[in-house]
Amino acid sequence: MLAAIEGKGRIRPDGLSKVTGSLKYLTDLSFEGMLYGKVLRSEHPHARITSIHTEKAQQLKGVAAVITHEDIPGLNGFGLIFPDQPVLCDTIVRYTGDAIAAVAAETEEIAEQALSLIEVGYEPLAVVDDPEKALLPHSPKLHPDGNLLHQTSYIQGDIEHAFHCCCFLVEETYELPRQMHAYMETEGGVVVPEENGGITVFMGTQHGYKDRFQLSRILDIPEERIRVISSPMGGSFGGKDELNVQPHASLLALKTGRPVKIHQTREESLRAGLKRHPMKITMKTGIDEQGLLLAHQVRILADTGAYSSLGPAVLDFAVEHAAGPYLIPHVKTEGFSVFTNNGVSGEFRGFGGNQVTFALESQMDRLAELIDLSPLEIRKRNVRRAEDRGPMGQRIAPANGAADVLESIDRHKDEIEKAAQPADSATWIKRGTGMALTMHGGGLGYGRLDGSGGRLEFSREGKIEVYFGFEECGQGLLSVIETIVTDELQCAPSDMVIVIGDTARVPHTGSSTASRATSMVWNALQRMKGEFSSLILQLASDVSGISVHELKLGEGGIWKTYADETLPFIHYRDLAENVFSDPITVSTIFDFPTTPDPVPGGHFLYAFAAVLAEVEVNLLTGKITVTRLDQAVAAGPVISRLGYLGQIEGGGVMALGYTLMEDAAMEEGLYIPRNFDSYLIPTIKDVPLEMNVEAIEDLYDGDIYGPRGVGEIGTVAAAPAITKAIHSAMGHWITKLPVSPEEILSAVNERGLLSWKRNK
Amino acid sequence: MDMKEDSQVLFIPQTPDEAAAMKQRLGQDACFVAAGTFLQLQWNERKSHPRFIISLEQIKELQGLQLYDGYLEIGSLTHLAEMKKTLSSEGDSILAEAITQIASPAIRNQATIGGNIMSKKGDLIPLLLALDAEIAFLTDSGTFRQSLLSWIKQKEESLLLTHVYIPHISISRLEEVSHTFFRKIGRRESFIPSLATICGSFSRDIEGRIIHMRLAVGGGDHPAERLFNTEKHVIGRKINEDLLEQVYQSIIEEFTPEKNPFASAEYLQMAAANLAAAELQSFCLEKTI
Repeated sequence: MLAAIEGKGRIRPDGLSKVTGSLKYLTDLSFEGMLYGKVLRSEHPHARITSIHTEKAQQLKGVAAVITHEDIPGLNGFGLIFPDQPVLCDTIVRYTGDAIAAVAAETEEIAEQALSLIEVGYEPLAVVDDPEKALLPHSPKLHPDGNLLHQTSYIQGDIEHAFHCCCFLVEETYELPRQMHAYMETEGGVVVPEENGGITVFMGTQHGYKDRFQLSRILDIPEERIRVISSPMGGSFGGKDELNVQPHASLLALKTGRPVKIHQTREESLRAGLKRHPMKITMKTGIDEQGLLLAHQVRILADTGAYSSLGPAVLDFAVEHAAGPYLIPHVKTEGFSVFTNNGVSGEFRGFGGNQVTFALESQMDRLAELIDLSPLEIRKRNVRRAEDRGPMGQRIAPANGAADVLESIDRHKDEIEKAAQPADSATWIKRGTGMALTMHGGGLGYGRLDGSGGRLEFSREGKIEVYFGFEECGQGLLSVIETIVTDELQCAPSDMVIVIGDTARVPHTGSSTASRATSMVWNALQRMKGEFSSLILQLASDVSGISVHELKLGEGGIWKTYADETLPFIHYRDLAENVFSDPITVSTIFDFPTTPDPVPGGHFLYAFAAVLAEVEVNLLTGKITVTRLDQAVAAGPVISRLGYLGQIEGGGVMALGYTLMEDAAMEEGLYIPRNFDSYLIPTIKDVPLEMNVEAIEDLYDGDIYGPRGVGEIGTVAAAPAITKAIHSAMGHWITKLPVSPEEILSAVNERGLLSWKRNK
Repeated sequence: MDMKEDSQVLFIPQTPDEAAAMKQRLGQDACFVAAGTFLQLQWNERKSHPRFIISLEQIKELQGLQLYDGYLEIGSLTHLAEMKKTLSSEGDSILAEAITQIASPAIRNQATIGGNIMSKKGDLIPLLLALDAEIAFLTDSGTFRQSLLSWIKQKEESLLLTHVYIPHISISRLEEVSHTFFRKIGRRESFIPSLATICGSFSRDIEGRIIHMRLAVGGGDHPAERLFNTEKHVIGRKINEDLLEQVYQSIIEEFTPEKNPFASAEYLQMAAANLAAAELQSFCLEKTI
């Protein structure tokens, strides 16, 4: 049925301008009289501020304003859940990204120089750089309520008793690194003061309305006087959902009465920006003699860094997904998200699922080895069926995705095995394959405000205007909207105008996060298309005297249903001339579907993926090369073929980086890498030449929810597939990411795989 | 000309003599810059720039390669991409292969062999050591030529590098009994600084005895050097499993890199020793591991 969706392979509307570099991003904008802002950040990961002197900076020629905490009219804090991160610190700094002052000057160089003239007195405090230590009773308290930001658990059955019944048990601790979003465009943009005392904020974010709300609280001006223009942006991956430099540029713009641009350098971005939560996950998992999972005990310790951001929600997600797509009668999962003086962790594509999936899938492979089953077989025996409940016992939309993707990836594995060359014994390369499986919830989950909607207008110019409050952050949203609207209304791309990313014009449709935008656009169109079409057809009928039943929307205008004509009967442009009152407008408001069961944060719509990785292990250097990465994804109908492919392949490459090289490692609260020369992301040379994506588009009978988003799922299960492939190649289990060549080389030595090192 | 204390001044000489004279006149405050691909990073790191910059990019006579009888002459301002192109067409693959592993295409289009050498951290230095390269500087009394090996032990150099000379191996030795290799250990496949680099060049006689051997290491903050003890240990002997074990051990003892945040010294030693042992084994034994 889904192959019938047309335009799947069409070029995205913003494609040409992006690849040619002609597109103006918000950080490219300039305004007359514009000043340049810079933010002074803490020298210490943890210190008491004893003094702040800005006089010398203020006297520097070309400096228009210097601000500190004293210049904040409203709440000196931001944060999507708890506003506990100071806009400008007054008494305590809790990480080296903490802002203390900001400057606006005629040039960036002057602003930079002014920062060096601001004198901050510090009294360094003991640095809490490890979540385990942060929980000890004598550890310094980083926040009034202590260092435990959030604690949550899920318990089902009787875990202790169940462990006694297991034939095989695996207990292991997994360590996951601090990954950086590494978007091409670092945080920034311009804030322009308006005559009404308000501002227009031209800065990328994933949720313009939420920025507006947070800024209103900080600036103490009504939300209505703040306009946020937030698309397009050069990547986000969750990293720009939270505020970053918007408050500083806004305060400076209001103070100087001039537009202020702040655009962070990569170093500033690395130091101040969010990262993926480093986690330490201990799992004890047991099976019976048939290989059926009986008991699964999980402890998750997340390093959330200095402030809350979305730390609690990320932990909830990890706890929810700790048992993944498997049916396990006895489960006990406990999670702790802990404050430290490390960089702030927050939202990141996969949202806690990547960490816990790595641990879970590694457990499955170890159990398979113990009981001598293939990785596929142990998963098949334990995987959920379409109508089983979700991982926290909640009712979810039935889906056979888990079994489907397993079956699909198994075919890919056969392909590899058939094509496999006999190992060349004269080389120092060992090959192996590995697979992994995951399910990933979309939307924010039960009990969270997750409203969405959309609006359609037929304008006086004869355009079908499509309004959504989602953001284009590189994921291909425009393509998705264009495809869905043209498919549902049968109009041509040139008949429509897409309006997103501007709080002055778009409806509240929620954040572009949690793989929700595609799904919400589709659902909004289902709700609006009937009424919208009827209203336009009625107008056409009124104008022409032809019955609405004989008319239909089509490319360019209104067509007669019965005539075999090559042009529309009335062009939209001509029809619009007959709109005498307000434009035809249809809008909808609805919530992202959630489970009916009161499981806080529990999801209802899930996507499924299975990954197959093939690697080469270099026994001389311990280096890993991924030679193939295939993903089978079950997420409902494909809307934009290229967008889908881009999300899954791109997600896979991001996960490859996570597995093999990415780590914003810290020592005593200081980042070791400071830029892209030491924080490494994959280049095209690290990307496997062969990547295949198979989309399983079937929905379960009666499923009314349409396509699920695929923004995250391509990143979730690649890591355990790659590490299992390493194990298949040379027998070594990985518990810590990124995989260390040093560890591999030690394993090579232990196994005596090199003749000159044998028996040493 | 604005000569404020904190402002920089750029000079653009047209000839090597002019450049050398400028440097002599301006002294320690001046810095030769070819492409600046390496220096830019250094300056960024230290947040300070030299006061006088002598740009060499207009000096055309130090660009290009010439093949003479028995050696290859490379102008110090020859771009790496150009070098690779010419060498590939000449069939000299090891230098060309090594160049493909330096930085990225965009950087190779700008970066020069002179810059690679004068940085003292360039990826090519160990290979050039293994190839017995010589280099020439412009002095008051004309051109002064010395072995790269003797130069790398010297302190900071203020003379203008003009040429690099590489003995042409393929002419002097039989192809089938000699072998040259370049192995760089980095944290990803490309566009990555070397953590350690090991290079070698060896030949064997008909009976399988090693008659010529050069082994050189570098990378990271480790100054490039020849591994003389290992070389001495191998020359004159036939490669067998025992000797491979000794070579491995000898390299580990002789190569003493500093640890860095991304790799321990032990790892770099082991990886470099493995790479060299594997090359020797492939070259001499054609046996499986």
